[in-house]
Amino acid sequence: MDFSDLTYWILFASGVASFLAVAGCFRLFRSNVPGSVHKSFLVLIGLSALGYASAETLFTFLFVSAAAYSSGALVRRMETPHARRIVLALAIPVLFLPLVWFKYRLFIAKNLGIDFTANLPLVLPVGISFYTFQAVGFLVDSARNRADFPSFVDFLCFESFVPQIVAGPIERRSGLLPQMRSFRFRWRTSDIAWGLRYIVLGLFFKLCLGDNLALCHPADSHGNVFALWLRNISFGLRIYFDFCGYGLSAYGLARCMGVRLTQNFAAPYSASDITEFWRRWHRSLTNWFRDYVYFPLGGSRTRCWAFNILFVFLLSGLWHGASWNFVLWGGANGVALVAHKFFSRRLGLRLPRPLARFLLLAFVFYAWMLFDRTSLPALLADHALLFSPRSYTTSSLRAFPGTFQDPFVLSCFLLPLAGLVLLAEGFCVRRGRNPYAILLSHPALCAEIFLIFQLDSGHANEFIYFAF
Amino acid sequence: MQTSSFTSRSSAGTFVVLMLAAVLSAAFSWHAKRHWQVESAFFSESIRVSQRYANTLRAKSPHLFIVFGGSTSKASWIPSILQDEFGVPIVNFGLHAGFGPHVITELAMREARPGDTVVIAFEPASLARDTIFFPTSGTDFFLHEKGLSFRRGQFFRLAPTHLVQYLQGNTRYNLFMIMKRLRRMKPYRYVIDDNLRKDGWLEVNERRHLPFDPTARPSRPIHLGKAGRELILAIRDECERRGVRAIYAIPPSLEGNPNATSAYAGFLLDILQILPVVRDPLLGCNPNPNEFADTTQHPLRSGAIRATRSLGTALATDQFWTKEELSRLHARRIDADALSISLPRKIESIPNK
Repeated sequence: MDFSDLTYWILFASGVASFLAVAGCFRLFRSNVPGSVHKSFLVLIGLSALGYASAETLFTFLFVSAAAYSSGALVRRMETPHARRIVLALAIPVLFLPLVWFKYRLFIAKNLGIDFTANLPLVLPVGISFYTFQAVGFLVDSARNRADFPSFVDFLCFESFVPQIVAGPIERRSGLLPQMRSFRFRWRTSDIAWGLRYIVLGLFFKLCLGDNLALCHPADSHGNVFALWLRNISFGLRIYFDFCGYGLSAYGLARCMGVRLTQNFAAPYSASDITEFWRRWHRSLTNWFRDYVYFPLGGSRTRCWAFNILFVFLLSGLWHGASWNFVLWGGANGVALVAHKFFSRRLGLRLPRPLARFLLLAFVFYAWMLFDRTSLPALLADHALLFSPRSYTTSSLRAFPGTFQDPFVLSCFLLPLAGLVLLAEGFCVRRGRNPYAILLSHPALCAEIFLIFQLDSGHANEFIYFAF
Repeated sequence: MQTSSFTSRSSAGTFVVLMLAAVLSAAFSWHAKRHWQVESAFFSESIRVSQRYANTLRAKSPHLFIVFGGSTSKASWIPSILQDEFGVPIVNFGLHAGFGPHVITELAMREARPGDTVVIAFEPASLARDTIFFPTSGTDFFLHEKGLSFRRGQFFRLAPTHLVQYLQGNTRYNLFMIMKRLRRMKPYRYVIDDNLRKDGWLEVNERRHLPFDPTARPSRPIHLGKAGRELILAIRDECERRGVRAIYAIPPSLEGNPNATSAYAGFLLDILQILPVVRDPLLGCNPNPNEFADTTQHPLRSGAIRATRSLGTALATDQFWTKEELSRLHARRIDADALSISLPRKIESIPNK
């Protein structure tokens, strides 16, 4: 499901071509293709993509889907809220079981001091973090909305919708399911035109910016604080363009098929504060945690609102990876969010916008250091370097270009290009428009296509979020 | 999300614009790769030069020695000396090792005729891989040299994905070239007039700082990888079919560690299972850094002359390594604590580039 890999498009095209062949057979008998055939093919394409990734991926997905659907059907029959809660309490852990087993068992064992056998292969089924959360969301929503329960095929279309199955967005029952119910392989030119725009933009983000920023991402700061900041900034930009690129391509492909997915990103680096940043970054996950963890805990209406926020972000950090640095990253963001809410809402303090943006960006790029460094000793050393005033000297600044892993010229071109893209986003945000409006315009798309051809990194980098 | 006033509402317009942009970008990439790839242009010309030299040699000798390998072989062995001093009519079709052994073999073997001897001279690292790998630079060069040729070669097959890669410009390369042009630097470190001789020899006369540490750890064993073995076997079989003799000669590189000869002897034992190996006493090692130019693989003229005479002596008298000799050399590893190296202590100062 790697949009930057030609194999993915060939497989997808093969699936669609197969459907067209079948549709052609129906047309021979002058009959319309039933909706169930459309949806069955859609499911087949999704399951084929999962099976192509690995057998573990396919079987794990089928297990989670079957468990979610059957639990949803059961919870729907429960008359009392208490009974429904019991079903949820039993079913949700079952849904999380494969995720915990594949992603967290070694982490748990290591922290409990258990010598877990290292002979079992650690193969993380592709997309498990995403479709598990989507399945849990479906189950909880089914408990709340018992009247309208989908057929198994509709549910599988929802759960295995190929553009978003591997790396999101995590869709909601209310958003995607109605579209899956009425899904047909329709080819509306306006949808395809818009879809292609988003696909081009997504590929530009991924191939030109994300992959090339990986080249100028210093492997080591060599004890230079400016190199450390460059490392953090290039990682923060890289992960944005990589993940957002995937989301845009997924959105575009879905749009070509006449389906509207959630846009996972809305120019997060244009935000003015940390709260707004998290409303714009990986929105589907943030909203999932808000609706299924934060609100049930009481949200901001309880005295423990700060704890609720912190708890949600610690969980969010853990979702990203089975390592303490991810938890630290989540915790740091949680603390920042709590601090912002306290000072801005409770105390009514407001900073001038330029200062607020500077502080936000400084914090966000600092926090990416927690995300990127999986070794705690290395993280401690980086903190010592970052927060020591003696690190910021003119001699360090002069030595800075010499620390570049890749030639200076690469960073001198790529970082300004990335900056230009972010400026275009910010310009649209300030005017209340689609943040990617400028980048989706015809002149910009022409430039993006040209750069896609000219700026091949030479390394096939998998989407970063595939690892989650 | 709301559509923006910046964007056109015409779907047909979008299709046309995107298609046109893609076609023009692809055409630009094709043109750039065909005409602005300085490395490909240099080595294309080196093939032409070697072909012209081969034609003049064939007028005097019907059977030639065809050397091919990476740039180590291209820079180490001087065909005119081999011809004039040793009577060995040799033509050098060595190319940039980064093109990959399959592309180099495919192009060089086209020059071999019945009765010729092909001297395979790939660096051990090129043949140590277990999986077949076609580097992009090699497929690009093949397309540059042969154009659109989707046919199955003897050793290398061009696939549609290679064409897709050919239409993509490399970021580092493109930015480097722009920087070089802006700073009015040489586009490529080698220039045809300065570095390519009429006999096809690549003379490298620019000295750079070389990584050379006499106390470096002993070389790790090097072995013929699975992909390398398959290639050598394929070359041998094709040569047998065509009535061409095939032998292997190891090109020398800068090696200061005495255990390097033991490591290379082990590698040559693997080759010996398939092909005769030329008995070049240098055994792929020249410990003198003063005889090397810009890399540890490219000798200066003095180093190339030494390597050429060593090869010439072996070829002129038909000397090949025996299994026993190589086994003895392979077994002769020196204890790391008892290193005694007789190396020139004075390394001539060179400009730090």
